Amino acid sequence: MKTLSSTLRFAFVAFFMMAMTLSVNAQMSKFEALYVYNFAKNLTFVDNTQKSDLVVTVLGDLQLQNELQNIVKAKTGGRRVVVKGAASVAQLPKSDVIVVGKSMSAQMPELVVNQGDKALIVSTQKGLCSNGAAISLFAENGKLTYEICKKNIKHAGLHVPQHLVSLGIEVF
Amino acid sequence: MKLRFTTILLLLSFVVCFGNAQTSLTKEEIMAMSIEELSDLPLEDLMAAVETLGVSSVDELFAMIMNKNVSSASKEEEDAFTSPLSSSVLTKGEMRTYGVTTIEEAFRLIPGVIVQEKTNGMYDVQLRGLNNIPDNNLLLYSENANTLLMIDGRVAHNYAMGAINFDMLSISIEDIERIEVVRGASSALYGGNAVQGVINIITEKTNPSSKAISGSYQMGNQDSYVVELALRKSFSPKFSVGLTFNNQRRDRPTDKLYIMPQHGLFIADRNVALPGINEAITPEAVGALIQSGALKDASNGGYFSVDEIENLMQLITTANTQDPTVQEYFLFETNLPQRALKGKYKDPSLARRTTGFNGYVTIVPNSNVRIDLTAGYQNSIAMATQVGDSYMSFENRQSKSTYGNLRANIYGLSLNADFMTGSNNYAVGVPGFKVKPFAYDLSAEYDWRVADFLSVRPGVSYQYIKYEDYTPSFDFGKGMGVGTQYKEGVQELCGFFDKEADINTFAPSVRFDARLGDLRLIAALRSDKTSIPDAWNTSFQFVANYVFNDNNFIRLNYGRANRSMTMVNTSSALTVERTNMLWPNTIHFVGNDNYDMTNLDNLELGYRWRPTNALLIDAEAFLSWSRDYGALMSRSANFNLSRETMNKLVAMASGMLGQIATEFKRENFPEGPEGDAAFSQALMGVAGGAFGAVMSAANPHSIFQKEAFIQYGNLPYKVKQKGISLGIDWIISPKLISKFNLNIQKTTIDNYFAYDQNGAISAQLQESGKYSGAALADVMMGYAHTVLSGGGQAAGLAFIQAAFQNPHAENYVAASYGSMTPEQQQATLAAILSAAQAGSTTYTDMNGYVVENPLAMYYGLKYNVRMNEKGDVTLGDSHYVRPELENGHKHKAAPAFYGMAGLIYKPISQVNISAFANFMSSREYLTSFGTDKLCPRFTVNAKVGYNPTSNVEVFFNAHNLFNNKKREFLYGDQIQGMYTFGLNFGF
Repeated sequence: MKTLSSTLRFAFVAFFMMAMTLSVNAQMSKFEALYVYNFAKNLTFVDNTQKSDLVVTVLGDLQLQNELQNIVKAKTGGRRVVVKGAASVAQLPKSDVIVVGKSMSAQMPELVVNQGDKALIVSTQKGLCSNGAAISLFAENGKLTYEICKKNIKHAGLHVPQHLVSLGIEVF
Repeated sequence: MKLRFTTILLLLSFVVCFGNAQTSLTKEEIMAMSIEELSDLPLEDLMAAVETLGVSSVDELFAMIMNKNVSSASKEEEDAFTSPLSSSVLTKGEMRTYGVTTIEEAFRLIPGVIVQEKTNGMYDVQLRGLNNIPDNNLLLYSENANTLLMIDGRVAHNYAMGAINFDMLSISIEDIERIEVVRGASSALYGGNAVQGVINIITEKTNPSSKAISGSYQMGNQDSYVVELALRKSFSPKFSVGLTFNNQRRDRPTDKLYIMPQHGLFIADRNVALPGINEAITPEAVGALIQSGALKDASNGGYFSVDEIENLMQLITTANTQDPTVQEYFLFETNLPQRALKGKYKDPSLARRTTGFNGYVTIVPNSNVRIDLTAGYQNSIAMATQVGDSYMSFENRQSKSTYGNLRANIYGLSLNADFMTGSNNYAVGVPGFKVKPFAYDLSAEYDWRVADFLSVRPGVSYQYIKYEDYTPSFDFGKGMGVGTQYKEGVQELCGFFDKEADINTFAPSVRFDARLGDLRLIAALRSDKTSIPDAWNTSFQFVANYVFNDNNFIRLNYGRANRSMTMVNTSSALTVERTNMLWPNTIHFVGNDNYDMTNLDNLELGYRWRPTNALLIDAEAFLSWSRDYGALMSRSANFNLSRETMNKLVAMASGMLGQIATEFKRENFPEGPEGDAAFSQALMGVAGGAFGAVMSAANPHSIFQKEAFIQYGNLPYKVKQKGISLGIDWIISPKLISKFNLNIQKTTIDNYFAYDQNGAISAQLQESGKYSGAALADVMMGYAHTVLSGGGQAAGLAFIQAAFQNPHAENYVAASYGSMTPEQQQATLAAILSAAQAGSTTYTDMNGYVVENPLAMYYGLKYNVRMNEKGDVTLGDSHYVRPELENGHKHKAAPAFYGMAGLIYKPISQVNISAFANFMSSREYLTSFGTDKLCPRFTVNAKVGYNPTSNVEVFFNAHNLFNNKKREFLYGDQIQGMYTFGLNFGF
C-alpha cells in the first residue's frame, strides 16, 4: 500500500511538472508569429500578381498557429492574411507561406520537393536554409534572428525587400 | 601570473566598454505594447524589442536543449529528434551553463560515455567501455581504442599506440559549436575505430551574427587556470574568418607518483653497500638488509616521491641451480630510468599544460559551393597513463603538432583533405616513445539524388600515416640504470620503428538513403584496404527508422565496425637491452603484418519520445559481439650461450679435468665387463662433479643470455556486451531545467583465459632454461667423459667442436648424450644436427621415437618455446600447455551502472545556478601488476553565474564540490575539489 501511495504521489508530481512545461515556450511562439507576420506583409509576388489574400499555413505547431491568428485578428487594414494549420505535409492546403514547426523539421526534404516552388518555406529551426527553407528563424545569443536565402525565395516565386535580407543572415 | 593579470584587465575593460548595450524602447514600454502595436513595428524595431525582452532565458534554451541539429549520424544536417542512429548532441551553451572546463569533462553530460578523471583535468573517456581487454596486461589497453574522434570530419587518433589523446587537441570549448556522439558500430560511415561509436566535434563557424570577441577565463586552486579566446569576423556572407587561442594549466593533488604493486619491489638505500647484480644472496643476508632499512618494502605499491622511486629495485627469489632445495635471492635494477627520473619529471606535480591556436576561414562563393579551411597548432605536456611496462602508473606525454583541414562542398561533391605533423613523446624520458608523426587524409563523396525518395552517396578515401624515429636499439638498463648517465639526446635517437614505418589505407564506400513516407531505410557499406596487414576489412550498416508522429520515433540499427591498425603492432622493430635488470636480458619487439583487427557487430533499438515540447526522452537497448582482440605476446624466449662463455667454461673444466685425469684411469679398475661398468659409472660421477664445480665457479645465472621476442597477436576472446541507456532533457519550468542519463550494461567474455605477457615470458624462459641447462650439462659431461676416458684434452675439444658446429651463429650446439655408447652418441648427434640443419624442431632418436630437437634453438629456430594466440605453449613441436578457456567471464573494467543528473535553476534572469551529479558503480581493472578495485563514485559539480549584462557572466565553479577524494581511475590520483572564479564573455 505504501508503495502504491508513493507511486501515485510521484505520478502526480510528474504530471503536474509536465503540465507546467506546456506554457513555457508561449513567449517564443509569440515572437515567432510576429516575425512571420512581418515577413508576410513584406512579401511581393515576382509576377506582380496582386492577390487579395495571403495564405500562411503553419505545419505542426498549434501554439504558433494560434499566436499568428491572434495577430491577424487584430489587424484591420492592408492585405488580408489568412492563417491555416496542417498536421502533416499531406494535409497542406494551397499556401503562399508555409511555417514549419520544430517537430516537423525532419519533413523538410519531402516538403521542399512538393511545395518548394509553390510557397515560401519558413522554418523555426536553425540551419534549414541549406535544406530548402527560404527563412530559418532561431534564437541565438539572446536574439531571435534568422537565416535568409534569396535563391529559395525566388524559387517560390516571391520577392522580399533588401532590408529584410540585410537584417538577417544571408546564406546561399 | 603577469599574463593572467593582463588578461583579467583586458576582459574587465570589455565589460565596461561594451557591457551595456541599449535599445530605444525600454522593457516596460515593450511589455505595455499590444499585439497589434507590436505587429505594426518595422522588422528592425521588432528585432530590437525582442532582444530587449530577451529570448535567452527560456527560448534559447529550447533551441539549445530540445531542438538540436545533428550531422554525424547520416552526414547531412538534420533534426536530432529524427536522427537515424543512437546519437546525442551537446551544445557549447550547455557546456558553459554546466561549467565544464575541458572537452573531456563535457562527455559526462552525454549518455553512454564513461568519463573517469585520472588526475586534475586529465580524463579517460570511453564509449560504453570494452576497454582493458585483454586484461592482465599493459595499462595501454585501458585507453580508448574503440571510438573514432573527429573534429569537423578530420580524424584525430593516436595511430602509434592506438588511443584517443584529448590533451593533444588544439581546440577548446570556445572553438566548439556542438559535440555529436553516435553510439554503436559506425565504421561504414566513418572508417576504422568507430567500433563503439563516433565523437564528432563540430567547430563554430563564423557568420554575420557571430560575436566579434568571445571567451572564458577562470582560475582556482591546484594552481589551475583556463583561458579561452575567440575573434571572429564576417566580412560578407561570402567570406568569414575566425581565430582562437586557448591555454590551461592544472596541478595534480600531489607531487608523488603511484607505484603499482609488484612482488619484490624495494626502495634501496644506495649509501649502503648492496649485493651486486646476479650475485646470489642468502635469505639471512636479505633479512639483515630489510631489518637495517637498506631495503624498504614497496611491493604493495602506493604513492612515492621521485627521490624514493629513483632507488626502486626488485628482489627475486629462485632455487639454486645446483641444489634446488636451497633458495637464493637476486637483486636487480627495475625498468625505471632511475638516474633520469628527475629529468623525466621536471615537474611531477603538473597534471596538464596545454596551449592551442586555431584559424578558420569560410568561403561561400555561391549557393552551391562552400569551402572551409582550418589550421591549428598545439603544444602540450600532460600526466598520462603509462604506455610501456614501467612500475609507475603515470608518464609525461608531450606533444607539439600542426594540422590543416580543407573541406569543400561543390554542387553536392564533398571533398576533404587534411594533414597532421609534429612531434609526440608518449613517455617523456623513456627512450623509444618519441616519434614524429606525419599523416594525411584525402576523401571525396558525392550526394547523388537518384529520385525524390532515394539518395546515393558513393565515396572514396585514402589515408597515409608515417611515424619516424632513428635508431633501432638501445640499452634500457645501461642507459638508465647503474653507471651510465642518461642524456636527453639519447631519446631523440631511439624508437620502435627502426627509423620509420608507414601504412596506407584505401577505402571505397557507398551509402543508400531511402525515404518512403514515414519510413526511412539506410544501408551503408565500406571496405578498408590496409597496406599492413595486407587485407580488406569490410564494415556495413543497415538502419530502419519510422516516424509515428511528430513526437514518437523508433530506430533499428545493425552494423559491423573494426578498429584500425596500430603502428606498434604492425611495424615494431626494436631491440631493448636490459643490463642489470631482471631477465630477459634482451627483448625484441617484432611487428606483426598479419593479424586480424578487432571488430564488432552491433544491434541497436532506440525510441525517442517527446510527450510535450519541453520534455525529450531517448531510450535505447543494444547488444554487441566483438572478437579478434589482441595483445603484445611473448612469442618465444631463448637461453643463448655465447662462444666466449663456452670457451671460458671449457678452460675452467680443462684445468679441473687435467688434475683428475692423472688419477682417474681405466687401469685402476678391475678387468672385464664389471670393471667396465664400474669405470663408466665412476667416470660419469667424476664428470658430473667437474661440471657442477665449473657451473658453481662460473655463476650459473650469468652463463646464459636470456632473450624474449614480443609480437602482437590475436586472442580467442569473444566479447558480448548488452545494455540500455536512457537520456532525458526536461524544461520543467522557465526557471528549472533538468538533464538526466542512466546507463546499465554488462560485458562478458567467452573463450577467456588470463593472458599475462610477463607470466608468459617467465614460463617460456623456464621451459627454455630447462632445455638449455640440460643441453649445456650434456656437452660438458660429454667433454669430461671424452677427456677422462682416455681421449685427452684434444679429443675433448674435438667433441665440443663437433657438438657446436653451427655455421650461423654465435651460439653453440648442445647435444644430448646421457649414458649412450660412443657410437650411439655419434649417431644421435648426427641425427640431431641433420634435423636441426634441415630446420626441423624434432628428430628421430635411436629408439625410433620422434622427439623434440634440443638444438633447434641454436639453429635460428627462434621460436623454440612458443605461445600461440590461444595461449598454447609449444616446446619444439610436441609439448602443449593449453589453458582452460572460460565462458561467460565477467569483465568489470567498465561500470555496470553509470550516468548523471543535472539541474539548471534561474531564479532571476541574471542569475544562473547549475549543478550536476555524476555517478558510476564499482570497476575492477586487472593488469599485469595486479587488480585495482575502484569504489563506486559519486561527484557533484556546481556553478553559480551572474550576468551583469547580456554579454558577460561572472561565475564561481566547483568541480568535485564535496572534495570526494576516492581514486576514480586505474592507479590514478586521488581527485580533489577544484574551485575556480571566472567570467565568460561575448561582444
